[in-house]
Amino acid sequence: MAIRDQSYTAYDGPMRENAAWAVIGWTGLRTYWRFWRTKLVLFAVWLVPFVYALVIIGEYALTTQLGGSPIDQTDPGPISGYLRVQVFSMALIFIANGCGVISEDLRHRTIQLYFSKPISRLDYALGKYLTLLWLTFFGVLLPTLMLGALRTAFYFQSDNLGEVALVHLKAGGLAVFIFATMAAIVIGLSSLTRRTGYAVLAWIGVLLVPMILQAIVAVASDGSPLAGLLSFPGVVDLATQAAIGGRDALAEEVPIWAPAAVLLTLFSLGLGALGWRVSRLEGIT
Amino acid sequence: MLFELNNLRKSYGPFQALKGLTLKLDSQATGLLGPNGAGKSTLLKSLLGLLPFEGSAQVLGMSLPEQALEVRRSVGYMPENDCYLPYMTAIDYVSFNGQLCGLPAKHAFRRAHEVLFYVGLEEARYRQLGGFSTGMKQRAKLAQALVHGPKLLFLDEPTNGLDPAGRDEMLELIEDVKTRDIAIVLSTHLLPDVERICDSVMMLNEGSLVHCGPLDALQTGEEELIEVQTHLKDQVFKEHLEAANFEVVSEADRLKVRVPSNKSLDDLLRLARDKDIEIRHFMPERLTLETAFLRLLDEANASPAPEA
Repeated sequence: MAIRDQSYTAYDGPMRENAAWAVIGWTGLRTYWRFWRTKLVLFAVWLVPFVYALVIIGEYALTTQLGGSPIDQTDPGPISGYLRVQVFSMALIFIANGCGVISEDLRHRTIQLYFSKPISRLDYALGKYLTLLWLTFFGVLLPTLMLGALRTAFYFQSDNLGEVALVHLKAGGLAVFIFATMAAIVIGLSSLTRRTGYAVLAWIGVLLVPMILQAIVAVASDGSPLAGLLSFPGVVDLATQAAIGGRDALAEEVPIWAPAAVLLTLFSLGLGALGWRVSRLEGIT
Repeated sequence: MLFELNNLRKSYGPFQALKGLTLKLDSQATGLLGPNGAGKSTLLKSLLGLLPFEGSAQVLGMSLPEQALEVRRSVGYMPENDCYLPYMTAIDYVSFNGQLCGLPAKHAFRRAHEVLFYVGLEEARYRQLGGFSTGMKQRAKLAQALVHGPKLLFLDEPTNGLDPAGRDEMLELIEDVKTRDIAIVLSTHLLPDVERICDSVMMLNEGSLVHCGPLDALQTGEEELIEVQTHLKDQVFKEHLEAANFEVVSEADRLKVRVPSNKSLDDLLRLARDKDIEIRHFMPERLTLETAFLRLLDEANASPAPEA
């Protein structure tokens, strides 16, 4: 049909307000879902929870066969191990996609267009963060919560259901906090550049360089547990011990508030960088 | 009333991008003209409520910056440069922009189809924008500006980079939009586009308002311009005309004579007769927008800008 064969008519349908952040978040996820790499990475990261699910089923089988669990059901060790692996799954998801969440808008100048619509800076920031949270949710959080529910369900009729449920509740809350922190770091890095490649390199650097530093400090200090505070997986390990096992599970040298403080600092830095970017949008061309 | 600006000022540090614009404008199609750095984009962004400014401004009767969101809900903006994610399809792009304007998802999707049909991208609506030609990209940008049914459309260089046929189609489309009760502000360097589309112009230079009013008034100068050709005596006639206080410019094999307000065409013809010069070509020339624009710029540059 040629131009104007179909006439333009003014829109007189319903309008809604205050939902732009949800639109930005959901559209971001839908746009990422178009890529094969997104589907591939999400499939790959679901393999880890699948293996853990088999382990949990094995644990249940042994428990029912032997009349008791061969492992301590409230031991933070396996949960900590799982969360550390999921940190790398999360890193992979963000390398494949999330690092471009803001930088692509800067590069393609879509920010200029978005702000000519009736949206606020907060809408934009929230929407973009929500995109990463959606990726986090479908990539690692959903299987993590499902595994927690599965393991709790296996102890449904046992005496220590309450203890197991509490452990997994704490682990679930901690997982949300950890993954939200990682999303905040990624959105912060993406806010600092219009080159997605730089954001990806920075993200890899943020993960790997502190791990090397942790190894060096650990060797130099004869394996001091404080070295764990220097890297993200180390902090996850310490935070899991503190959240699930309490003061007793944590080495004496490490203050119980330290892992949470490190995570909170990283979370604030990430969101701070996003805030800085969004506050400097005036006159963007 | 389309715009009502009162001493609108915008500074970037010590640089004054807009120097106290005061105007009232109510027109169906307005051309926003000015050389690079005149403040056109700054004015558009200010009128969209994107930039803080001093003074006061009303767009469609809504005050800025207090009602910036309401203004943006009523205004469609087509930016000059590319502003899309190349891996988005046209339908997603337009639908997404509709949702940002407040349309519910289903309505935005249906509406995106309608406007993409309207701008002639119906065949390409499921293709990624990265594979579009320049003309198709411009149309997609126009579609996103129209999707929410705006009352006012800001078009920033809509024919930039288009071939003659594409440019003609785009202008045809804009003319059609104009007839559908949507006011248009066209910011462009291409003066023929303004002449074709607009009925009034706003002209800026170095952040100051040089002219604001109907296009006809701008093109009807106080002085008449006549194109004259003589039989082998152009240079002689030019000298006589200049001696008689006519302003004359030689262009190719013709003379362009500006008739001052205290002279008439009869004076010119009488002079030719008196000097025994045979006139072969005598054509009153319409003052083009380009000529008027350049003359106004010259005048503005010659006199210091008024203080805000």
